[in-house]
Amino acid sequence: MTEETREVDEGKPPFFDSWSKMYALVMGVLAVLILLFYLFTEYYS
Amino acid sequence: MSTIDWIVLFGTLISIVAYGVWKTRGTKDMDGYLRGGSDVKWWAIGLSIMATQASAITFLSTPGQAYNDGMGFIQFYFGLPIAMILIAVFFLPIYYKLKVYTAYEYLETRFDMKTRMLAAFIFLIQRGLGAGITIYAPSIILSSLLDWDLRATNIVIGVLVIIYTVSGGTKAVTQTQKIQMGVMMGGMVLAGIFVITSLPGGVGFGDALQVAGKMDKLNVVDFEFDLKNRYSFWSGITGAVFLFMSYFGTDQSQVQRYLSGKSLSEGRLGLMMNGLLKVPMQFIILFIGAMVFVFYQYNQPPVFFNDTVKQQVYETEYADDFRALESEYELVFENKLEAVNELTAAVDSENEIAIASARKELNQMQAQSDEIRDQAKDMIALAVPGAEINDKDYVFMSFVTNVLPIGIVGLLFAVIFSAAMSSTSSELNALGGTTTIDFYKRRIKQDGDDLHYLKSSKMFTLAWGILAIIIASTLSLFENLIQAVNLIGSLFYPTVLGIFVVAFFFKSIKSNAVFIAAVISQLLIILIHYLNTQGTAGVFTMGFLWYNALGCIMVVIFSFVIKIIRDK
Repeated sequence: MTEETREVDEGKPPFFDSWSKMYALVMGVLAVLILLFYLFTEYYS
Repeated sequence: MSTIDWIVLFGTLISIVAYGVWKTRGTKDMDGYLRGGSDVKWWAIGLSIMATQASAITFLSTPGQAYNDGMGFIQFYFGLPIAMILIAVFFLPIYYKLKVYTAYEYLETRFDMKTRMLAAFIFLIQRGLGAGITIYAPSIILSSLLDWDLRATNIVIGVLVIIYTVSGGTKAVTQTQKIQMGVMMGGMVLAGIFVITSLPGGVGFGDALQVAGKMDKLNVVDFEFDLKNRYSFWSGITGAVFLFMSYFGTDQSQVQRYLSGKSLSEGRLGLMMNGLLKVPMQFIILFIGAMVFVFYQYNQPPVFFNDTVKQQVYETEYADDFRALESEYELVFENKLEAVNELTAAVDSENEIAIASARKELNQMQAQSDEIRDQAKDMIALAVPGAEINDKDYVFMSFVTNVLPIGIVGLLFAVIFSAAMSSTSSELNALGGTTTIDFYKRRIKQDGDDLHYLKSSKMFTLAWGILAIIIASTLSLFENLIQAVNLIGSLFYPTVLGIFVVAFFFKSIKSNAVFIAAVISQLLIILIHYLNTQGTAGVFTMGFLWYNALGCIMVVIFSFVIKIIRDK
């Protein structure tokens, strides 16, 4: 089977100069959410 | 429902279908039909990914889950942002580079045709069943609430979806999902506002949180490690990562969404949008369920939330006994209400001893209340053999129909129908596309022109739509619908993910090794699940979410073992 391929432009995400920083933002938001959920659980239990 | 509610419901649904058909009337080639013309913006991809995952089950089961068991289910989604990043880094560049229509095309490039066929076949089986459940789940509940025939409800949902999905393909799916997400989010935010404002005078939002927290409904995070615990922080960031990687990275109903982007960056941003918004979105839906629980601490709840089944009990010899249980339930509620008020007063006075005492008393009352509910369910099982005694999925919509004002009720029904339609349309779109690209075009007719394959895709999409309606009409209710979907995914996804993981990361492994490893792993996962249901799994006793990690790892290890044996 032959496959058609194309050059892929990696591009840059908005607001950041690399995708690594965008991924760090997503992981950071997740960490903050988990921390907030933990505090929420502790406060109201 | 009132006339206004019916107008809101059908006005919304018909508008969505008409918009989908009208907006995509010019779709005349395969790229437009299966990849949406490859010009979809990142935010539309993000909405489409979220709308595909958020089925009616999400809105029916999730609040009921919080009502019964608290908000711990949110932990299942902790693995989602991690999976989004892994897919954006490893999967997406390859799919875009190869310019594939389906994820499985890549497997032929990397391995061979039979491995591609195996993965595509597993997808068709599990997603075909999934499409049936996606239609059936809301139908069973909506038919009960609207007093419609179950099969007629299946057909209404199925036909509405088939009209625009067959007509416009991926483009229609993406266009309609933008509106559907608006309806879903708008409806749920309104429901959240109404549930809080429906609390009695004198009970503020802070009091509601205190009551929910003291009754263990706001237990969001659990760090205890236990393999048998289905939803914990650990299962979320391990087992669920595998499930989400399989679902978003290898399930064509999702892959097709981000392959419609005009560039790799657009696809990646769509995934990141999902990674950022999904956990808060699930939190809101669960929180609404917890607030419905608080509402029913101040207002008498029914002993059983499925009114249709309850009416059937009234027509049996158990009617008097059942009514006696309802009276007992009301009595316990009156006493519990006093305990709730005591707790609220104790919290306001910030007296820790009084809070502990009131909390203990309230939870004892709640246990009594739960016991009567269990007795009622046992009685229903005797009175109406075969009736579903799990009413978790009816809690939210029972609240909606009995408490929310005219117009909003119709809107919330539109939310459920929209969610069912958005998921089903992606599934049918992907099933039709995979059948065309991976089987029909690859194995049956290789010399057709673009128009021929476009027509074939439409025919296969239609056929899968009809099959989904038939499957929906033959299903019986699982313990919990959302878990049923996750279970089916957990049985079949790990093998497919294992194949892709070997393809991406272990270049020395060739096709025969991974193919044999995948078949063995799939059979073993099914066996392990069977042994778990029988309680005889021994060291393999685990919640089904762990199958995702286990199955994927098995494929990798077996592939290496088979490679070593064959190399000797």
